[in-house]
Amino acid sequence: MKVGLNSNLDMLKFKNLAKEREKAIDSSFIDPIKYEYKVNKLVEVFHPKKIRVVVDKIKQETIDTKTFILKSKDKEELPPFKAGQYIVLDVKLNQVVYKRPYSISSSIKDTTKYEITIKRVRNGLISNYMLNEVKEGMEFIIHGPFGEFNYQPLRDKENILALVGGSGITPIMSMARSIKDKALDCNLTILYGEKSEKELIFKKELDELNKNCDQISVNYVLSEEESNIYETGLIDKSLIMKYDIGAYSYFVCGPTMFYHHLNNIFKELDIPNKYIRHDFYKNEEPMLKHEEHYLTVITDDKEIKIPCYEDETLMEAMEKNGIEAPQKCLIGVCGFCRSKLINGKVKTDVDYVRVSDKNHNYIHPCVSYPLSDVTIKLCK
Amino acid sequence: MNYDAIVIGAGNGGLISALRLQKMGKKVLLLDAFNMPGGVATSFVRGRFEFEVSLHELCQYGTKENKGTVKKLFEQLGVDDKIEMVPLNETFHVLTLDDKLEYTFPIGINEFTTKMEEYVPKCRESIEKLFKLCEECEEALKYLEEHKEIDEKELKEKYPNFLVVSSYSVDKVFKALKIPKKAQEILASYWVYLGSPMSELSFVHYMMMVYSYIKNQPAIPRGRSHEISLVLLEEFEKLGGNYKFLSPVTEIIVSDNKAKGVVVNNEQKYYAKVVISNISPNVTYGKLIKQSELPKRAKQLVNARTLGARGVCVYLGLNKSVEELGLKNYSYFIYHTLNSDKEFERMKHLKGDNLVGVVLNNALNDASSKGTTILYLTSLMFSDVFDEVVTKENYFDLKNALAENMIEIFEQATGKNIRDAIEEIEIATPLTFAHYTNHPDGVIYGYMAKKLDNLLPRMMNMQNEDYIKGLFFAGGFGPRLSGYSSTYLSGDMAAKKALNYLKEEEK
Ligand SMILES: Cc1cc2nc3c(=O)[nH]c(=O)nc-3n(C[C@H](O)[C@H](O)[C@H](O)COP(=O)(O)OP(=O)(O)OC[C@H]3O[C@@H](n4cnc5c(N)ncnc54)[C@H](O)[C@@H]3O)c2cc1C
Repeated sequence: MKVGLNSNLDMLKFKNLAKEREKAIDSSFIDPIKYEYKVNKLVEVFHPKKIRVVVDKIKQETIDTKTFILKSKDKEELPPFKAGQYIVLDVKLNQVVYKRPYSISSSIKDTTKYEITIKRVRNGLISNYMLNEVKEGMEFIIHGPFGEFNYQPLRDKENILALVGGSGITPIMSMARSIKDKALDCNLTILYGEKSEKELIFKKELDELNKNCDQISVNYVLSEEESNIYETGLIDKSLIMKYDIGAYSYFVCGPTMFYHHLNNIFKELDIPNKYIRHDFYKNEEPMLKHEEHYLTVITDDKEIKIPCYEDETLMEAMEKNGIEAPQKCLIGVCGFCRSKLINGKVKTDVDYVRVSDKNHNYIHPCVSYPLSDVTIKLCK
Repeated sequence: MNYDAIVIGAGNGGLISALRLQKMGKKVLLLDAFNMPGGVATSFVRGRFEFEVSLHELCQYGTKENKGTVKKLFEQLGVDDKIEMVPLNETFHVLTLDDKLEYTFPIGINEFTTKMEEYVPKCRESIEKLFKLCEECEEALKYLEEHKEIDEKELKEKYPNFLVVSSYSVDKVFKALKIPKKAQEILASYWVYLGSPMSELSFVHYMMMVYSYIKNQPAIPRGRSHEISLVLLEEFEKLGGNYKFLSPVTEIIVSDNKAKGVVVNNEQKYYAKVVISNISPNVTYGKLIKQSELPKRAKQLVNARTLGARGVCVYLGLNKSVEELGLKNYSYFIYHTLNSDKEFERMKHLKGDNLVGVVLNNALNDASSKGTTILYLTSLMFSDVFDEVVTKENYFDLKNALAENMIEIFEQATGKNIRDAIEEIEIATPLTFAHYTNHPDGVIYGYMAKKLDNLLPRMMNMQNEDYIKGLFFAGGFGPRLSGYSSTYLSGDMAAKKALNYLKEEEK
């Protein structure tokens, strides 16, 4: 075969490849090695490993709700975030570090602070601690911001109908405030369901936004109180149908039950998945009445055996027993707690597990309840 | 704790190194900063979609009858039968924006040649010659890899044509083979996969990849690349290997020019005779090793090289089926023109407008639930232009603007509507890749394959460039360059070097 290139020099040229390479190395400069670019430095800005914050101020919102204004201890500013995102707050109580996700309720425009708004959960360990014990000036570690509950113009309608249950108002509040600050551009209609008027969080500010901001409209729906001014009852099909279906993206935020209730309505109304975004949270502490099992956790070359009740998640059991497992969202979505089920049976109703993870018995302990004695291995 | 070997990074290279060493009876510790194996060989879930992060096609896999090197490697490591690979039925499908050209190619040397003859009449002879040459190059490379000492005479006798072309760029050899201009341009379609234009890329390197795609059927795993990463890790663990995640290595302990171990998270120390780095030499040498312990030449080597491609990826979950969308192919290479040198220049800018689209459901019909489609758009950048533009303030908007542009380009090239079907969207930029891999500038292709940093010179000097005893490199910055098959193979090469070293140390 004839290639048609000058073949006289071939062996030499071939052998020279190595020599030429050596020469190029010889003639290169020595110091410094560049390993960090602007992008790498921005990673530190957007995704710091952890952030030390100080509680700058505490605002009483309702009898049962407080807003904590957090400022960075070390820097002027906190990482930029998208309206709807959450942070994870480390709370150290009785030698155990509890990690809790809280949506940021403040505007994305001002990153000198994050506001998180916490409502008391009956018998809730952390919410009660936060509301009863935390004072201005106290310090915490937070992680994040995380989460995909955000307005995305490439996907969503520019009209958002926010369907809110209780303290699910917090991420929506961040959206509303950001719209007011002209840092976010969409139209926001809020249906805010709560038991009674006095339990509505941010009511004064929401009323003002409703009045003064063209892009925002707010409607309250009270479930346990009669009212002549506001809607009453639950946020239901007929109420949703008052808003032109097809013109909105639906942003649902509230407790798990609320989310399931609305999902059924969306199915009945044949609303495509594309137009439904959701964020939800568990709002009850387990009752711990049911059967007791044992959970064995393999981590750091150790095996730790702890009790775990049928109505608490594996994560809750680990947490109570001081086992630090990776965790973030606590609703099974982010996958950070992904662990291997070595044996035993668990039940879960949220399904964001990767296909091959499922085939290899990986689970998300934050949404897995034991049905028998269980052994898991943490991925850390 | 004492180990035979510590592997830093559980990317493709690190996973294979760790598994090979463990399989050879060594005591291995595998460390990663993240909480999952795979590096960029992983997947993530949004809504009802599971997205692949990086893999479009796994080169050198092949079939049962026609095994590629990667399949053979997986068999040796005892994992091949644990991974479900699905073969791909087309090589590439290219579209141009400027003059609206469109070409699609099948698998198989004969089929490919026939198709090319259809597009470019009278090219058959030159294309057949090209593939003959490729066959010879493939054998020559095997010979080089298997022989530490090269017998010049034998090389000259057996592989004369390989020697002729070995130091030339793709465009020079194509011309010499008298391949018609149009066919040359079509053949160049894959260039973005290696991230250098035809005038810079070594012929041998480029054509080895193209040849392998055409000859050995490429494939993808059913469970995304995460399936491979997971199986590799589980096999490693089954053999007694130790791994620790969320464990960033912050220092490599070096003394007397020898690697001795690592420090994790600035506190925990682990000792070993060998350290394999699956991360960039920039970070390994520049950050993890005390500069006083670093040979001058190590620094020079890093500084002599150019970082390769950066990328923006848009992951789309669409709420229509491929039929409804009218997308028939698996891959869509979209360029303004087929001139790779021109396009390369264009792609030094932020909106290069060139991209590769992949429709996952056209390879895996159950990739997502019925009536939906997964589409990936990837656009590369060949400079640190992203750095110049991105700021803390504009980042979120910039991300969206880049994604919007890419979606528009895809729509323009294919004439299909994507925008209205978007149910899930995720956008990754160099910042995202920098976050997950810690690589300098978030590069996704290691160093640029150009001139003296092409495959051959890298491989030929491989034995001379281990400047610190007991420290070896695997992965996309390594001697075989980036890409799945290359990083798997480089992981194996690093393990073998380590085994030799351990043997010698024992003496
Ligand atoms: C979008 C995209 C598309 C691609 N498409 C293809 C394709 O179709 N076909 C193909 O063949 N190739 C493709 N590639 C290239 C291929 O994915 C890569 O070359 C390959 O996966 C790189 O593997 P690696 O071994 O270099 O490890 P990487 O994936 O780079 O992983 C490095 C690992 O090191 C860890 N790490 C970093 N720093 C530390 C530290 N200090 N301590 C501990 N751990 C650390 C990271 O967490 C990471 O897990 C693509 C890449 C991208 C990004």
